[in-house]
Amino acid sequence: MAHEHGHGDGADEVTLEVGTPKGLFTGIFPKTAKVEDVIAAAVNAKGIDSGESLELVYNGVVLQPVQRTLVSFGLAGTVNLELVATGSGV
Amino acid sequence: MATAGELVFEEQFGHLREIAASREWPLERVFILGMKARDGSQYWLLVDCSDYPALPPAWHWYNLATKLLDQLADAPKGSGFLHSSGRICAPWNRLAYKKIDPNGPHDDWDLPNWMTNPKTGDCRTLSAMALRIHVELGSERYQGRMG
Repeated sequence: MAHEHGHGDGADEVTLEVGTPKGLFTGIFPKTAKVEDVIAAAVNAKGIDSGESLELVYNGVVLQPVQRTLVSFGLAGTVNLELVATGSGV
Repeated sequence: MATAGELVFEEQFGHLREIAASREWPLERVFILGMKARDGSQYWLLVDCSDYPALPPAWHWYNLATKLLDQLADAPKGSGFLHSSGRICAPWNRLAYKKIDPNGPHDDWDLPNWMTNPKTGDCRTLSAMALRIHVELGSERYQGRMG
């Protein structure tokens, strides 16, 4: 379960600062948390209407599949992520 | 969390908006936003939010030094989203509509109904739009500056 705000000092935790459609969500998660857990926590905390699929992005790379853990993507310490509504044009 | 300065700005701008509306003074809602791409290139956007959210914002690529808007040299390339026209191709960008901007890629989208355009998806807040652009600049699709 995520803790909001503060900083994760433990080696087994990662602090995520997630830009969301409704502002910034900060949470401390176990490294073994899944990407889908982070998305759910951010959506819940910020009251985001998640009618469309949202993707979590790190340095331009979509973190998929969402069942993978944070540590499996090499996330550690404090990390900036983006929760993106995938709608776009073309 | 908003800073004290931001809160003051919002409060004072809100007051000015009330006065401007009552006197029919034109008052633009414009902000400038800077982002770095994955190659370290700095891009600037001037975002005109007048009539937002009835109409989508106009996301102009911007040159902070020359103050010029919509120059190809100041626009990124690399995907249909970072369109070769130099316009961000999304229903939530007013400049994507040809009837607004002759270089806009689309004459088949309905401007007043931009929020319900399926291509808009959940990109219905300024934060969501800015994040979407930033993700594109950081992705492997990004291929540098257009001009």
